[in-house]
Amino acid sequence: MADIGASAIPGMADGSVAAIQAWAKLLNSEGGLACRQVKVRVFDSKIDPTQSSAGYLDGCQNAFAMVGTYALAVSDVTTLDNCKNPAGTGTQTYTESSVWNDYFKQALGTSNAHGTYYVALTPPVIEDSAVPQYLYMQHAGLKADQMVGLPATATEANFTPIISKMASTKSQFYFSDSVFTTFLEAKAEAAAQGVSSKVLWVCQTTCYDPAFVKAGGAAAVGTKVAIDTLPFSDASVNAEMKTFVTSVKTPDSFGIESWIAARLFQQGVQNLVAAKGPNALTRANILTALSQVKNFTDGGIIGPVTPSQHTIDNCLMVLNTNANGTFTRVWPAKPGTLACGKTGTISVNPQTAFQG
Amino acid sequence: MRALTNRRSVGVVVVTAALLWVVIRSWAGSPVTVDSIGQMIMFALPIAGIYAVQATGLVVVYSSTGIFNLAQGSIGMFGAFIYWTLLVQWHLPEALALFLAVCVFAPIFGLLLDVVLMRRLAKASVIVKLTATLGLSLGLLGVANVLWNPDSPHAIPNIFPQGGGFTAFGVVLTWQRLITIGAALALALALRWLLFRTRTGISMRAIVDNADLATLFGIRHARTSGLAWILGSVCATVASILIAPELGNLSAQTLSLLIIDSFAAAAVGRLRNLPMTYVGALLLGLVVSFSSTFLQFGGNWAQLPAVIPSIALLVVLLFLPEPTVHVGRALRTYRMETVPSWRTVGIASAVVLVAAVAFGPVLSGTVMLQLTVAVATGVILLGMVPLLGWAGLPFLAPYGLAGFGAWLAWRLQPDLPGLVGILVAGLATAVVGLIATIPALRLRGLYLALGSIAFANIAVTFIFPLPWLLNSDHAVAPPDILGLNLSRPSSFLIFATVVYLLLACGIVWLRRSRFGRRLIATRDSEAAAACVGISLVETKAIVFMIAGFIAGVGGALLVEAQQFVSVDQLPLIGGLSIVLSLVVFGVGTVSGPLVAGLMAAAFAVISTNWLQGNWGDTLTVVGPALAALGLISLPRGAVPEIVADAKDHPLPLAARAAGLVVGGAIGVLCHLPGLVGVALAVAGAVLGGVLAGLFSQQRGHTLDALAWPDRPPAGQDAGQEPATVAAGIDDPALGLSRDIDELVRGQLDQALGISTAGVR
Repeated sequence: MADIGASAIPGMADGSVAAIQAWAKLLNSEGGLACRQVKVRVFDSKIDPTQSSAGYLDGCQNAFAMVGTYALAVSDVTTLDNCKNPAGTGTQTYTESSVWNDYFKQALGTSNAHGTYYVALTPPVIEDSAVPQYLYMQHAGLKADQMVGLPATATEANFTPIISKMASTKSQFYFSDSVFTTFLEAKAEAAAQGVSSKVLWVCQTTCYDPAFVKAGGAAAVGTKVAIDTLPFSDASVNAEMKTFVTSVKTPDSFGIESWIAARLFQQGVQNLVAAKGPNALTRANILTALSQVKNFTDGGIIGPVTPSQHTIDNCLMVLNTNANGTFTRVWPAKPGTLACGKTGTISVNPQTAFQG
Repeated sequence: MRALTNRRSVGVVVVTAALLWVVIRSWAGSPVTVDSIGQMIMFALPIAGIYAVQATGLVVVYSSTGIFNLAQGSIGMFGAFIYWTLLVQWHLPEALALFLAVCVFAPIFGLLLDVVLMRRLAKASVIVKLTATLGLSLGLLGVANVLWNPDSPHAIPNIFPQGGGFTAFGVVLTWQRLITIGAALALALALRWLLFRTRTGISMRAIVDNADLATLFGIRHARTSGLAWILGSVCATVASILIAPELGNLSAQTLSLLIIDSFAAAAVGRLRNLPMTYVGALLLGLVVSFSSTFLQFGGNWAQLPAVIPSIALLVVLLFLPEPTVHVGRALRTYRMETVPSWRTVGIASAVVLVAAVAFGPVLSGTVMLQLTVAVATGVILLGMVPLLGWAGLPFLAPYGLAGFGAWLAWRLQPDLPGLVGILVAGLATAVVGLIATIPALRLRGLYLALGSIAFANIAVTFIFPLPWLLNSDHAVAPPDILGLNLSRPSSFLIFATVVYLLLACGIVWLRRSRFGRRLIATRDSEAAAACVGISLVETKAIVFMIAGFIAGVGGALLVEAQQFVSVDQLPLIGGLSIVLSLVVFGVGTVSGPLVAGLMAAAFAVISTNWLQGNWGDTLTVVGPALAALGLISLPRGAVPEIVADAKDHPLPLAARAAGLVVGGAIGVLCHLPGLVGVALAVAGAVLGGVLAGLFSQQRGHTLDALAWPDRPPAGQDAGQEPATVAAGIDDPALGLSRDIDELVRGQLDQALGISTAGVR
């Protein structure tokens, strides 16, 4: 299931479908999975909760497993509701990583830098994930000159007060979880207001997109883009990444997420078959097998993840955005590697902690 | 008069106190100095420039056509994308690209819009006009997304190079922004001059004020209308090209939706006064920059900045001078839908219920889910029938009401599961409806519609995402009714259908009652209704409460059908879209809401199961635009028009329907590819019509099997504003250029209300 036919963003997660189809083709060419040919059934969730619900029903009725789903309007909230402390009801404990502080320390030469944290004020769930991460970074020494957010319809003019404050507080960095268009608005406004080019502009995965450079032009150049997988350019040193970029015609960030999920599923099935034989393939057995997978890295594309622990990927790498539209690895410098930090926890209520 | 003044004073005090409270509790602690105030003004100017340049286009189109164009942003967006194509993709020189986009494309597009759609809507009601422009907006948005992939970069460079500008208080006002502010001012002054100092402009305004009288004075409606839409399209394109560099990447959705924030500026100018519109834009810009400079909206208030323009719109609307009360016009000049007999209601209900029961064992789980959601949406829309269709109050925020029912259904479930919980959710939403009556007492027509859009935006963007409401998604268990568990979609469908039918019967009874006649009377003439002792306040309050109750029940059904509740279920555009569907299928009938809901489900099922990929996407994209076009030929709505047609010409309609079903069935049974199946169904419908025509000709009839028969005049719909004397009749129909035959006489009689005087 993927958001491919939404009228707002048609074709948004086409890369996800392409990746799953490429994975199935690859598996089938190698003899299939658990002695069976893999058949892909696509369901378009259209960024719509009703369609997402229908997709789950369709998957239950017509498929053995849902693999590599990329749906933004996910409606299956049973897991969230069964949490001891359901989302949105107060203070919760979040697991965060120190890897961000590690990066800023080496990039700015100090562990006590100060800067601007930007929170995308679109769906509340984004606010919920960004605010704990930012607060954890602040507890570890990276001070906040301001932690601000704007609605999705904000234009560059709405950023003037934010940039003005960056100038007056001499912010050393601007760290954003927004989509790349909003990031570009902020950076273009900073250029217009003459804010020092020494500011470290850090964008998360959404900027790892050729469209970011084409849309931003000069405004995009020099941006540091942090991603939690190896970059596609590491295909020269990482066999799994090479398989991905050669199997998928147009690799993108949607596709890599779905590909990794499919590889995890594949490993669960292969573990199950190895333990109990090909006829043990049931949904319940697959879930059990997946819960027993530990430190999954998909051939080193991501940092080690243990699905049953429901914790974050603790590793990342940072790229520099070049004027010719390419991205160059800057941290860690060695190709094929990711930088990993220590995990810690923070208890916070994201709604009340965000002060606007 | 004194009572009115006192009431307004109380309102001013209450609103001022509320705003002061918000300011005090959100005060960020920044010192108020000359510098900080100067900075605030500098922050405000570019924002005000954006509002001003957009609102100017809105006001020009409304002043010169009488249509408040919800598609203004989308038209401009289309022009901006054309400019991008010429400049970036085709590498034309900037001046040439600008000339082609603004002086060639925009005028042609505006003229086409006028000829194809807008001219024919001139005499339609507020609801039809608004929903038609909404359909156009959604259609343009969809087409733009197909033509210009939203995942690809479409950046428009600044017309003037970045760097430099006017600096004050440490803030730089770039040349591009200065040009935007200047262009907005120049446009406002130039258009003001055009509208008030030239014969053409005065002709445009005369047509809006009184088209018939203006025609008698020799003003050519078609010409002035075309010119007005050319101006509107040019203004929209200029605005979007100026604003586009302010966006990180040209986005069809953002450019289309930005216009909503400009409504408040246009409202300050009462949608007609351009200099005041400019002042309104400046004030709005100042309010926005004041909030970002001196206030801090964190915690539960984090989303408040996003709705400041909507709050400003509501405040402006509430304190506008009282609208003129219309008196002394023809009694009944619009078509009131016939109230169905109890026999008809009974038969139709039985058919629908049997269908709901029969579908259960046959259809897949996904289709059943779509159907239950369709029926729940139908219930929400059913609440809009007394409000929009009968009372003529253009309230466009069904999800604004339904959201409260949805939230309550989840919240009450542990203590009040099942039917009681749904009923309590409905009753509590009725109270919300009662609160919504307060602005409706002051606002009429277009202003009420705009107020309801502001209410919808505030509810969906700020209220529902509050932590104690729908900040996060939650599972909702299906109810147990009389010991029966409704977790299976098939059983829930039957339950939802029964609820729909009971509510439909209830509002049919209401329409037949004394209260129903009071609703019609107040719609005909509030002044006359008040004179005969009808309390307008009580009548409006009751109808809003009824709408709230039904929408609340619908909201509860919606989340119980999907077994979860989320703010994503209640999108602003989705709410406007379902109102569009309702108007398209018949806002004055109790069957229209169900058909509107079912059509949405049919679209989803067809695009998922039959037309996956581009064809399905295209169907979704062009649907709203087709709906807008449909309103021209079927102004009462598809359901009443088709029923009327079936009564007059049953054979062609039955033949088309049979052809459609047979063609579709062949496609399904033979497992043909989706596109082939749809083509077969359409071909079957056309063939059925042709055969029926041939059969009729053989029998000596003159049935036209392929074309719809003549429709009633466009003004005779179920909207809010009564059509004027020459409703739906082109200028020559006044008798100046053609003979008055029986058909024209009948139309005139009908428009004057002579032939419909006896209608209930």
